[in-house]
Amino acid sequence: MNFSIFGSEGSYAHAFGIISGKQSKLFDFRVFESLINAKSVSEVIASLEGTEYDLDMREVISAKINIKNLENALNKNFLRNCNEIFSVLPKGDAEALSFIVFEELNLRKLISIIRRLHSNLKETRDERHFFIPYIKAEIDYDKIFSEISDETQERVEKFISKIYGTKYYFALRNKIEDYKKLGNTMPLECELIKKFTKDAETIAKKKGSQGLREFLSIKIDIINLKTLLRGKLNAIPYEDFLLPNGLYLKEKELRLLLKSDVENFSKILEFSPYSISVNEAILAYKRERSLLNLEISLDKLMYHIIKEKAMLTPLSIYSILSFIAEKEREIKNLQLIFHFKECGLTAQDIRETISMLQ
Amino acid sequence: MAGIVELATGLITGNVLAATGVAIAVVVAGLSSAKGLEISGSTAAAVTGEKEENFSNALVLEALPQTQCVYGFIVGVLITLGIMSGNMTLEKGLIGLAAGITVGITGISAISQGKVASAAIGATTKNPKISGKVLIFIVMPEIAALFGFVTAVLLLVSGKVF
Repeated sequence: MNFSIFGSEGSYAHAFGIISGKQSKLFDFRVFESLINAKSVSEVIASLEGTEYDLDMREVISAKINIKNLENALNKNFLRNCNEIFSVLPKGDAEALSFIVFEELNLRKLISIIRRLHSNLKETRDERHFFIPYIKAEIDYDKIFSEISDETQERVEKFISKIYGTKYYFALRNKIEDYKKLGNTMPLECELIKKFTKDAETIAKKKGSQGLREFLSIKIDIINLKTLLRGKLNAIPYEDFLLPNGLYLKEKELRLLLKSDVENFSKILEFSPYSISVNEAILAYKRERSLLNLEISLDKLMYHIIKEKAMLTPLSIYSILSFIAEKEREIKNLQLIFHFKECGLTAQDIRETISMLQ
Repeated sequence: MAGIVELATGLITGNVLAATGVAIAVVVAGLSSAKGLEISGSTAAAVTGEKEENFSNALVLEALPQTQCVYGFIVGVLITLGIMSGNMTLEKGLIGLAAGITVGITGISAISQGKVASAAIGATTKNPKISGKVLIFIVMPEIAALFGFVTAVLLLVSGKVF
């Protein structure tokens, strides 16, 4: 008898139960609409009474109602939800998954900050990509920002020198010259992502299940697609930034894509589930020449793949990832609502920004 | 060597074969039910923990992988009755063993049923209106076990085992 049938389904079934319960509590558009229409931050907080966020909001009220405390409370809620799910998984998968989920969030935050410094963005709506829950950041971003006020490239360089001692420092330091030469943050970002995927692969190989390794391969495919499209559309040399071990995009496919124009990408990718979404991503980029739009399209693709796999195999890592993506989106929207309410933006403006990011 | 064969042949009596059938029926079906219930029960407990009102729906769906264990138990009891009657010939013992294997192996469907039940509990938590509909999906893997059970009982009846 194959004893794998007596494997870890029990743990995943437990996690699936927790997720199903939590998914039924996620906010639908009606709740968001009422939050968007609230007159002030205090009214938004009051509307969250009796919801998942009740406890977190009470903590904020008992301390001080400001954006930083609210963001911390939402991050805490996200962390609590994730840890509750991870705690019932087999140990290896829990460790690998918590690294992948939390580290990716930290990395996305770090990348958004590097971009912000590079473009010298002020506190405006353009800062929307800044709203990402982050977990175990070793970096005091507020302190660093208060000390940086130079010109564009020096700002980024100074920021990197300020994070000396963290695990990101050497990866970024090695690519400063490339960044300066290109005048684009892509080398810095790709180096961080490369380090992340390498670490994630090592952990998944050592401790994770087959499902986790497959997820990582899909992730590598999406990262490579982002790099390829970004590089092609911005005419940046990017060959060195491509990652090995993708699920569909192996060396042969990557070589084909490298030689091809972006218009032919969807044809080359016909054998994979990425074909249609790649076209959409290119169109989204071309509409506003916006890198953010391109990334949102490809993140959406990743989300759809995860959701589809979660539907086909509910007792798998994909159900967990699908919930985490939904929860992250909910928290991001709440952060946006709080921030824009504080800035005094109209309900219509908030609605538009949120729908654009969906 | 000839002595060992003689000893082994001497050990294979109708009672021994029938008892092996009982063990297979009860243990394999029971273990499978336990695993199926572990899967569906874990989900049921977790959704109830998240929202108490999920309890009643989860309970019905969670309990279904239990039936394979009941089938195994019934077939086990019927074969045991045959052993207790004292008329267990070698032929009847073989029929008992076959019946035990049939109900035991088809009882493994409890594991698949547990997975379906788990997914169904999750779906019902998100949309309580579908609790009746998802029941049909959970009953599907039951059919294999039911066929196994009916076949096993027919075998026992036709072989006049009990």
